Amino acid sequence: MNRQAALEALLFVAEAPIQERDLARVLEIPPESVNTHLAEFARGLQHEDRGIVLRFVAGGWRLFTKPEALPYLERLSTTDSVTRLSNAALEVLAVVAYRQPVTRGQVSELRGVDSASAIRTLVRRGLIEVTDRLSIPGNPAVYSTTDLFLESLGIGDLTELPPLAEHMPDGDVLESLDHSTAG
Amino acid sequence: MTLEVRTEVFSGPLDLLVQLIHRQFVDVTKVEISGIVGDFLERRESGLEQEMNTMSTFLMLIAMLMHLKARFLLPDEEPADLEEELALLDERDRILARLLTLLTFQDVATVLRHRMDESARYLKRAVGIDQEVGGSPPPALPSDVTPRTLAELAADLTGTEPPEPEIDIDHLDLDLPSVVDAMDDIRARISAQVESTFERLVAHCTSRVEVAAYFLAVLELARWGIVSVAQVRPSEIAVRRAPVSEHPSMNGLGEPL
Repeated sequence: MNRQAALEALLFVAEAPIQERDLARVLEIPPESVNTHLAEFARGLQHEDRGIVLRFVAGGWRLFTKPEALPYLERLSTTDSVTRLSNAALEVLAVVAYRQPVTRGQVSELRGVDSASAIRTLVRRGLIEVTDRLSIPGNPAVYSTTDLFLESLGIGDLTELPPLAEHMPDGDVLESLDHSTAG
Repeated sequence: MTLEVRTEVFSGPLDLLVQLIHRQFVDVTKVEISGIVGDFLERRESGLEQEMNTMSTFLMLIAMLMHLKARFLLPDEEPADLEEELALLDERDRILARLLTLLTFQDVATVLRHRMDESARYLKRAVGIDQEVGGSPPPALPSDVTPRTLAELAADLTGTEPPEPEIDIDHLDLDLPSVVDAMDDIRARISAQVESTFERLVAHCTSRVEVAAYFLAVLELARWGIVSVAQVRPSEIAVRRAPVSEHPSMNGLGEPL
């Protein structure tokens, strides 16, 4: 069987993004040819306007259905779609994403409100996880984002997060804030 | 751009002057504000500094200066208030900085929400490789199988009795005094003295654990009716030998502990 077809088979059954070096090892070909084959496969899917797409997420490659196919898939599916995250949970997720590794206390302090339940929600959803414990009294857990987080954002790694500086409030907001806190 | 000022007591950036007055390095009463304003207006008219930001910064700093000076000149104002004010300003900066951080995260959170929503439109295969191909994992044990069940199965096969499960307390560094010994001791001493107090019974004990052992021993003996116990005063527990008729059937109760 040619490597291109083998590659397709591997991606078809993958239950997590596959790293290029794993593909190279399994297919017994150099990493450069893996790249060539991946590019060829992705181009073919796009060119033929197929229902599936190849995406690079969380450091690896994985097949996904096309967004346009979603209405049909929803009609077939019997499971309910996952409920959206609350604004609080999303805010905590943003803090963890940019400040990781971070403790629950640090998140709560930054937000000015207790963030325990939001953190629990995010852990349950598999978007963040405990990656370490600090060696200070109480041994607080430190949280980091997971591969699932990268995958659900559709990004390859954390460097693809939007730069925080672009989201700083602009001059107008600064000014009105300055006034509202003065005196 | 920095606003340079030239006065009798200080020459340099205006904001630095305000800071110095705040920290009481420069006497505010010696600073002539009208002179500073005059100089500024003169330079402005000569067309040098017409920028809006410069103007507003200048106004703010001059206002602060006037505020400071006015407060300082009022007779009932303590100089310590300047310290307080400075602390308030610091606190305000801190709150502002936190608000900004929070707003930043809230803003970026909406972007993450958008990306997640976009990405959720791509579905992925949730099942792995077929077991026929990928090799099946070892079957999980049924949930009702305990270590005990396994031990019994092993015993059936090997013909030996499964050992009684024991709680391992090897990790505890216990040098416990014997309650049984304490009971023997109490019985011997009670029969000699007929009546005693708990305090006297434990007079020879050197550790709390020993006292505890004696206490348990007294309770056990009282339960069997060998001694009777009465607390006359809060600090004193009287222990006396019970009348013989009250504990005739000790043998029927088995051995102590």
